[in-house]
Amino acid sequence: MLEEVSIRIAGLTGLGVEFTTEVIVDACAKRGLHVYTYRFFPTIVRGGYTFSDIRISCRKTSSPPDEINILGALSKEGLRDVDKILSKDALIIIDEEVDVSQSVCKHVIQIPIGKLSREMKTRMNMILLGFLSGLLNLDFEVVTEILRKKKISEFESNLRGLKKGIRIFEESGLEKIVVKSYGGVKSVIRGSDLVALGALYAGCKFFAGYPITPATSIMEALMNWIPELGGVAVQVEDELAAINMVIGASYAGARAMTVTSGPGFSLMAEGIGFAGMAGIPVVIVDVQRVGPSTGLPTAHEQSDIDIATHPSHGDIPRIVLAPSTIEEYYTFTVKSFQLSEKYRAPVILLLDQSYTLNYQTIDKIRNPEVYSYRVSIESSGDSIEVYPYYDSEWVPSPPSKRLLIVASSVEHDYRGFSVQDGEIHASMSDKRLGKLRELEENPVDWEVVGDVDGREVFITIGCCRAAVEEACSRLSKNGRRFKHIPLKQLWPIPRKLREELREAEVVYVVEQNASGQVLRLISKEIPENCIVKSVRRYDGQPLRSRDIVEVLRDGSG
Amino acid sequence: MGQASSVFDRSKPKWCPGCGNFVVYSCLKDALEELGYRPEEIVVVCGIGCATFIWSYLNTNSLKALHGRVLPAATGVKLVKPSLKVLAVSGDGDAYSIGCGHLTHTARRNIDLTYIVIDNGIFGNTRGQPSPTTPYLSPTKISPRGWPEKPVDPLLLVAVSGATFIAQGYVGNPSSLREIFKKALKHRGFSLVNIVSVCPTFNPKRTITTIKEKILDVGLDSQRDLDEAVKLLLEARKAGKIPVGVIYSRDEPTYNDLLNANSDQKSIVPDLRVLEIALREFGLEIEC
Repeated sequence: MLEEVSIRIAGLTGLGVEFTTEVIVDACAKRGLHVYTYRFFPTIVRGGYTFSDIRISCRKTSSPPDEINILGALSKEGLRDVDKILSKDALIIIDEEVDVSQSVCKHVIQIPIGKLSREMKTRMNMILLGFLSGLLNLDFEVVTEILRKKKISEFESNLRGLKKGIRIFEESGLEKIVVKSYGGVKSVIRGSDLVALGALYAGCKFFAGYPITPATSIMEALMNWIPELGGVAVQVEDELAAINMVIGASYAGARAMTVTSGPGFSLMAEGIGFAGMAGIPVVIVDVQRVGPSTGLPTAHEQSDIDIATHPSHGDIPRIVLAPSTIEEYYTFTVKSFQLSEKYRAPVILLLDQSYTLNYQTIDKIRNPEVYSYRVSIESSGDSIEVYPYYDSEWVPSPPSKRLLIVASSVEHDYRGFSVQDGEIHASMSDKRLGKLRELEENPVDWEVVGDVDGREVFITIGCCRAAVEEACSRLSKNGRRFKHIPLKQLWPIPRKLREELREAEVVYVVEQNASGQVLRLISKEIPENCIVKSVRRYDGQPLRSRDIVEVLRDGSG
Repeated sequence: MGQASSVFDRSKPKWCPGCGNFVVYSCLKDALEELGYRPEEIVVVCGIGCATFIWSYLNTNSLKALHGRVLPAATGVKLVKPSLKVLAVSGDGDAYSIGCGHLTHTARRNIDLTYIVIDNGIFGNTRGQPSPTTPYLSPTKISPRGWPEKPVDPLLLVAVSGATFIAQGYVGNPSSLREIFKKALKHRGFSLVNIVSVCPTFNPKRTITTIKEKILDVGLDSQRDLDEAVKLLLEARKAGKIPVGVIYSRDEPTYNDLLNANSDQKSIVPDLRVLEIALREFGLEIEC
């Protein structure tokens, strides 16, 4: 039995690459296997090149595979760019009508997917699914049940295709590929679902957002679930409306959030400054995509570090978190709400497209501690007073008996009253920014992994953690000692970072953008005598562990 | 009117002598008092500009928002705390220039709030640039040969966008303005009150007298349907008239009604019902 196998399903959008992937992932999870998926897709809804990589393993894995062992192609486009990624002994399954004479791969199985699908009135991807479920030894009953649940209206035709595909596999004489399983059914989930669940658990009662790839799936989940729990979720005219509605709702007492991607985040900039100035707690999720400007809307990149850490004019308090595991998509979302209240600052959650949109298996999740700084307060006096809104970490909201709540985008005193006074501005600035010192000292979920005495130190952001961990565990077998700091709190910059780097000889900063934004952000924390290597991949795809292995082999020696 | 002892007085208003905002401020205060509101149940959301200084003189809950983002901020308040009476206050620049995008969307959602726009046809706070309601081809300090843009017609704009209450007042008739405010405040749904006002400092050509000549009194009890209201507005425009009164009023479900969100939100922290959703949708166990 194998420890892991990786499959690519490729073709054109509209042919069912995503559907096929989901069925395989669900069936594997039910067998207790761990699965990581990554899907490349274009902005063209029908007819653009797309593929989906499915990494099936007996162990938890959260980075894309270094090699593909099986390629299932639904059209000739499926052969695009596969030379570099296919393993030496890879198997290609493709339609018999496609010319494969140029293929570098020796093992090509051609089956009449197109012809059969037309004759049998079924979909090509179902025949491929049947073949692959035979090959991967997936349980027929389980797959059938998944198909029934997913699309009852097409179940009969899908089942015809599935059965035919299985028969073709059986007649092929190929050996089954069986991955070892340690048992236990796994949950299949995307980062987007975990963010939505985390928000709900934290008591988020208001959402406003504008559709934008790749953040829309979080919005859709929240639009479904928030009303189910009695809250309000709205799709609005633009991101300016979204952030300002969230600010209004939070001022009025509801835990509130918005979700966007780079272009929308840019539009929210002024609103984020407003929240920081007015001390109104808000949570903003930025699912990063390839920039600048409209960029590559559907592709993965980590290039919003600059704007997330410096989102708006003036000196505003802000907290920027970048979860480094899929589980942290849930726990960090929960924590964001209380952090934004405690520090009266906007919290920006910086996410990766690859973890947000793609299915992974997880075992279970532990809830973090959760508390609220929202209070209902009333005045005992006879007259109506204005609450000293900016003197306390407690966040009251209107209506409060005999108390008025005043919040302002204009510089103000402790009650919220406008002042045109330089000295008050100076003291209020110190107050707003001073609060975050505590987080500098005690950053959110600080973690050092690998060999804590290692002199070669990796600093990673977001999903790069998984690829680096994998590469390090492979290379540390040769005696090299790697320390690894997944940097989860980008602002304020944790003081511990400097301490952890004191003994470092080489520092690798691993990130997915062209200019090295994380390195620029933390460069002052790196000791001068240390060798600094900026490791960047920015071709729209998530980092693979082999990218790191190559750097370590060529680079530091 | 406007006695110093009002519960709505916070501090003495400061504007230029002769500014129309004084009249609006005192009429609004009177209307709120006459309708028996208490300061705690009112939220005033303001944008940026001279008109919006009302927020610091009026003793209510208040949220001083960004330039142009008054309506989204006010919408956020109303959607989670429907028990609050929400007033939004802007000038013509705030409402019809930088914030114009939100006007139509807030109207078509029929958010239950009253939008008070003090329209003096000029950017006063930045000292005299043309606004979206500056008359076509009129000379301004940055357009000596005449401003080449046609003015926005806010009343028509919200009428065709689904507003359920449309009124216009003017600062030369405080008693009518007070009654218009009362009608607007009692209306359940999105109400726009555009107030034709004056800025003696930067728009001295527009005075109470020049406005008065153009007034067309349309009364306070509109039975017009939308077609009739639009017709009235188009004809007034053609005739160079300023209709004053309640132009359109109609009861329709509000956004809160349609979202089934008519009770105040209270955050439950943590909300354990999520554990069921996670289990139901993903078979995911979340440990507490």
